[in-house]
Amino acid sequence: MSRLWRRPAVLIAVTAVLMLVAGFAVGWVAGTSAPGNDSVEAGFARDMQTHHQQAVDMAMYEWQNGGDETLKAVAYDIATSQSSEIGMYRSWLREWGVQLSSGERMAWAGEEHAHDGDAPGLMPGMATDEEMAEFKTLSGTEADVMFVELMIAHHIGGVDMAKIALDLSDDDRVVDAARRTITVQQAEIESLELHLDRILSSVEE
Amino acid sequence: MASKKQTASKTAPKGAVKSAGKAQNASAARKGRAVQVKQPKPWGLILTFSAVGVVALGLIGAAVFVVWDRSQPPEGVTDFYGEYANYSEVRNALTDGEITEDDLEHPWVMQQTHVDNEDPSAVPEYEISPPAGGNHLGAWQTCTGSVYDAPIVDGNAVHSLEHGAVWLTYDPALVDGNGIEQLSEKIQGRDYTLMSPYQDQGVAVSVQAWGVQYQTDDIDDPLVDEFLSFYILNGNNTAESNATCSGGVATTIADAAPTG
Repeated sequence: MSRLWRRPAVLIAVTAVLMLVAGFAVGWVAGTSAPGNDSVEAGFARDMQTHHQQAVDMAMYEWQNGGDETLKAVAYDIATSQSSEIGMYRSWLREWGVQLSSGERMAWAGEEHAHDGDAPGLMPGMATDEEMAEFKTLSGTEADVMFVELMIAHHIGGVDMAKIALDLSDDDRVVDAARRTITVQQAEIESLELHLDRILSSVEE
Repeated sequence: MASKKQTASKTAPKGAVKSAGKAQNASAARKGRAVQVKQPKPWGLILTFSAVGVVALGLIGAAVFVVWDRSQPPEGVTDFYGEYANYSEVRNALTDGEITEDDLEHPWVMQQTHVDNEDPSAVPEYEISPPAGGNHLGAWQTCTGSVYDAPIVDGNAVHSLEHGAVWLTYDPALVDGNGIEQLSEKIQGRDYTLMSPYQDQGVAVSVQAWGVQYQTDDIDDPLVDEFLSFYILNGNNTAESNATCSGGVATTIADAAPTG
């Protein structure tokens, strides 16, 4: 052992290896903890899962019970695309090693947005349990009309959430997803409004 | 440039290496020119590098701890996986042939059959109450942060647990209206959770995810919140990954009961 000390080269090599491993260790933690459990990114991904889930629920009901074939195709599109986005958000959260659920909804968005939901425990634009229950008693054109109304409000809330994320985050994937959400849902709001006009006018005739 | 290089090669570090090398081969050194004077130990160097080494080891230790700690379930939770940590570990042990289902203390943690597939009137039976896993009914109970004001069917709720939900039950004889309100605030609107009263539970609050359970008489027990945050959609503990909580049974036993 004492001979080892006379060989600074060995000492330097051992230390260098230790430092290298330490560097990897720090990077490992940084890699798995960034974004952290309380980050904007994790909060956004968690809340978007819940938000999307309700849209899937609504769209699946419309797909099965709606009257207008074109609107049912829109519902199919919403259900499938938002389902796959839920999977995307979930895989981010798993990759980041953070919890998939948090008791504090919208907390990531800062104090000013913490109570944006229309009812306790709800996020912006989400339908209440009562609204969902009422929607699920309808069929045909009645279902179509309520679906469009609920989904437009839902999308407006989704766009708001994405805009907050865009303001607060500089994570590439989050920024990209937020931009896409804003573009897609804004376009869908306009198209849903046109569908509503068309359905209502055909009812009047 | 050249002269600078030469002087550099004669100074400390490289020289020290050479001398150390020669000291090992003493006879060869004696045959050569002058006898080498034993050099003093390079204490400064030793201390510096030891200090860096200690810091490096500290960082490695801290990193291992942080990553390990994050994967630990809250204390006080009863799990039914025996010597294994979670569902995934048992599943892997079974798949690798290390064990068979008979080796498990609670084989029901690995039983996920829809008992009503063939006989629509079949009802699953559970060893513990409220159940925390096992064979169940084909339909799950809607668990999108759903608060039910009457008991629900065990076999539906267990199916929700399979999807990664946490089910909070309370004993209506032990929890009053305010308590129910307080508990429902934890659940309402939180995806992958559901809550319902459970007759004769014997303990005020019980929370269960697949294969794990925590019970307490204290409605304010912070472990209930920790349990929710840790187990909702927990990747190692979800018996069926990526399944949804919406679109299930949304009725209670009270709704299903024959009227009149």
